[in-house]
Amino acid sequence: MLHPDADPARVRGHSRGGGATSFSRIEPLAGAIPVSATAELELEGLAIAEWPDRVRRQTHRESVMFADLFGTADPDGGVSLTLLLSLPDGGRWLALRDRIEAESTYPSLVAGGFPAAEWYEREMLGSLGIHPVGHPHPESLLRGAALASADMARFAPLPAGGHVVDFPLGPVRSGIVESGHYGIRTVGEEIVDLRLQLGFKHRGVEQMLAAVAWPLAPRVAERISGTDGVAHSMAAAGALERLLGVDVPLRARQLRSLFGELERLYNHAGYQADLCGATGLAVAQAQFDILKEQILRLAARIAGHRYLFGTIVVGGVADDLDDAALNDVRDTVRPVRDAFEALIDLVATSSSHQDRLQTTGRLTLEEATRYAVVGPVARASGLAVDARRDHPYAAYDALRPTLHVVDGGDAAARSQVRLEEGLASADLVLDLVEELRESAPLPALPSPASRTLPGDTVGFGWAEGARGTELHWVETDRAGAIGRYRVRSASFACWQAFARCVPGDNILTDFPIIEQSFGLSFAGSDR
Amino acid sequence: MSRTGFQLPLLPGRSPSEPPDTQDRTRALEAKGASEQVGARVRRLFGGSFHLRHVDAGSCNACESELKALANPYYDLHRLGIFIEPSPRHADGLIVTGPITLPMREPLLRTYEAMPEPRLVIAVGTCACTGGIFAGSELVAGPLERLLPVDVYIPGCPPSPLTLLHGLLLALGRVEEARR
Amino acid sequence: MQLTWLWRGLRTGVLTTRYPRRPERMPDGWRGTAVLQRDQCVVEGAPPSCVTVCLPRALSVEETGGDRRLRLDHAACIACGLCVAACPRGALSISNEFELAASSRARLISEHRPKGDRAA
Ligand code: SF4
Ligand code: SF4
Repeated sequence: MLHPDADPARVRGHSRGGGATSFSRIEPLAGAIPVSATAELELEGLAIAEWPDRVRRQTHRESVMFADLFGTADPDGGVSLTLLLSLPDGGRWLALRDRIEAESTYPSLVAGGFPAAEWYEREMLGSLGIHPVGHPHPESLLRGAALASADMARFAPLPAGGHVVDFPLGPVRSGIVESGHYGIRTVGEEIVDLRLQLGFKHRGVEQMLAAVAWPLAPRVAERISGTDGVAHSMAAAGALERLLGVDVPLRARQLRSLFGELERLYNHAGYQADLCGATGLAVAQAQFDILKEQILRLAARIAGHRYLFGTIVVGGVADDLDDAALNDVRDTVRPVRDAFEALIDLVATSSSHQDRLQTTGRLTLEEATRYAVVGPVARASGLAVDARRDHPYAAYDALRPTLHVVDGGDAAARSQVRLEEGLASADLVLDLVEELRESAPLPALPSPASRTLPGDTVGFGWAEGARGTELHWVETDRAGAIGRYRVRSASFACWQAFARCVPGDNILTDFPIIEQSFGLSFAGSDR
Repeated sequence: MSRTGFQLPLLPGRSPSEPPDTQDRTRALEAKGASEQVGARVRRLFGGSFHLRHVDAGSCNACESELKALANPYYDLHRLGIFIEPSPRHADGLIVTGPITLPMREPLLRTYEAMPEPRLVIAVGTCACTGGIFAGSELVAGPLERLLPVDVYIPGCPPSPLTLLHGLLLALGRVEEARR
Repeated sequence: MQLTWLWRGLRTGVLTTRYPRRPERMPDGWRGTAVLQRDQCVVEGAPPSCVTVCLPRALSVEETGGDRRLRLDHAACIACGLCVAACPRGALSISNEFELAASSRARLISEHRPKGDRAA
């Protein structure tokens, strides 16, 4: 459906400079509904009431996954709502967009067949004040400073009988952990309800991303979640590159994949260390910590930063790696890989460890689909999603990583997926080193940093971090300044399912293990 | 450079087992540099081991990752007699990461108040030291020095584990501080 | 099973740093903090190009009575290295120094000294 005023030349999408590059041109935000189509992202203006039907029609043709739902405050006071869907079969994304008045209401998408939209709508309720009609729990998700005193009053009605105990946990907790608040209600040993309060770490990164000079955006994006820094900066750079119509040279894309896989590798090792710590397997914890430290030290040697901050820039990478550095990568990662493989067997046969993980914190495939979880959490519940395969970016179109999907859905399954993925990441790094030896040196391209962004345009980027797919959405205003920056982090996509899968079969002492087995970050979800 | 918030007048109230010559020691300590004071205090009051409580006040989690790395076999914090405590009641020092987001302001101050005196405050990471890239944002209440008297600043985004060791040992007066 | 783990743990050997008894160093290319070559800086431009690229505003210009000085706050520097490329005179570099902690903010500030200024 084309908007009557739309210029067909603009609607057809703009592939400046080759097929890999495309961005979506939208009509001016004020007034007309934006209508656009490109190879990667299809942007369609459609009244919200028709969204469920539109998606249902799409579902007949191909699989459709909920990815994001967010609102954009327009300069004239309205709110543009965007529903972002992943169409993995064709490697495309579909965005539906409508405009409503500020402070007004709209039909809840939860009621319209998108259960995953629940927390997204609650977030918009808090930040934009728009009310979803028909939403099961219409209350703000991020309650800012007011949430400092956590209220336990919002629990479900008391179950009859039993000895009910409520445990408030957080925001400051023991050990070195991130700040977040859990309200846990138990009857006897069993956890019957869990309230999760996000937002303690909300520091306004999205606003900041919109305010800084755009070439600095990847530097800010790294600090959304430091241990997913490469994924976030890659997603930010991708969004801006599509906006500018910039092509990234092959070698830079390979280096991006290399950095991304190194990041995944150290995260997977660190995750296992923490999980082994939670079950009391101290030697294994130390062994995985050693592997993580070895990768962090490698990163410091080759890229000057232990968490690889500063490596990804809009248009490519900050620095090339020479042969000495590539040898260093190979010589470090190969023994790490072998040690990782040996530890997989040991962990799998450690019954004290496995006993604590099996059947703990089970997330069924149905629930995983329902809440549109991503990353290893999804893959451990049998949901085969991975942006590296579904929407290839960087050098993944040639790499074709294998997906590790298992069915269990419990902590053991999540641990298994991340063990296998750690090994796979190490293998990918070693493959990439060989490919980088062959690939042509980085061409000296003029930096796009001096250019201005095109006005009234959308740029969209993504990357698969260790915790799942990170999505960055950038909109410019008429003058080419960034008007809205949206980040959907992998952690945000998974917390909602986490809160659902704890109550039920789990006992209180399982809680730290379930939390650890999800391996999510508050920094990423709170932004 | 006077660390008025942590001058020794706090000492007499600490415990009944305080030796009688506290006054003299107090005067002697005041003559020394800040880190030496702190170190001498730790040696005397904390019996050589140093117990820390951590509060994440809005970090990006890289600082946490580096703090956790201190426990790995490469750095082995325990060999230096430094421990991360589960409860504020037994902690000698508070390590704070992040730019202090508005919702974390209260929990941070409450943790500080729950600690026995004397208590050291250590700002870990650029965010806690100055606000870092979030400095000036209206969503943060920091930097840390605006809310609490800071004894040691450990800059870096994130500080490497060796930088953290340097900072923690500086708090104990066991190393020299950075000079510009 | 427990024995296997014990064996693995023992086989790893000792990796632990001896710091602070033995000096340690970070790799050469590691970015610790920015360093200002005090006499190279001319504080050109308003603001100087290094100041405009510095995300955490670690670089600033102090003006006192017609005298302009560049100030570098190491407590704010995230060692991104962007100022190094921005400075036309090579007055800024990144060092791999890691012993950066200090007990006061004042110790973490470098101030440039214009040529001929002999005041400490
Ligand atoms: S100082 Fe840097 S690494 Fe530490 S929390 Fe802040 S942004 Fe993250
Ligand atoms: S290295 Fe980066 S943060 Fe540090 S002074 Fe230079 S521009 Fe600023």
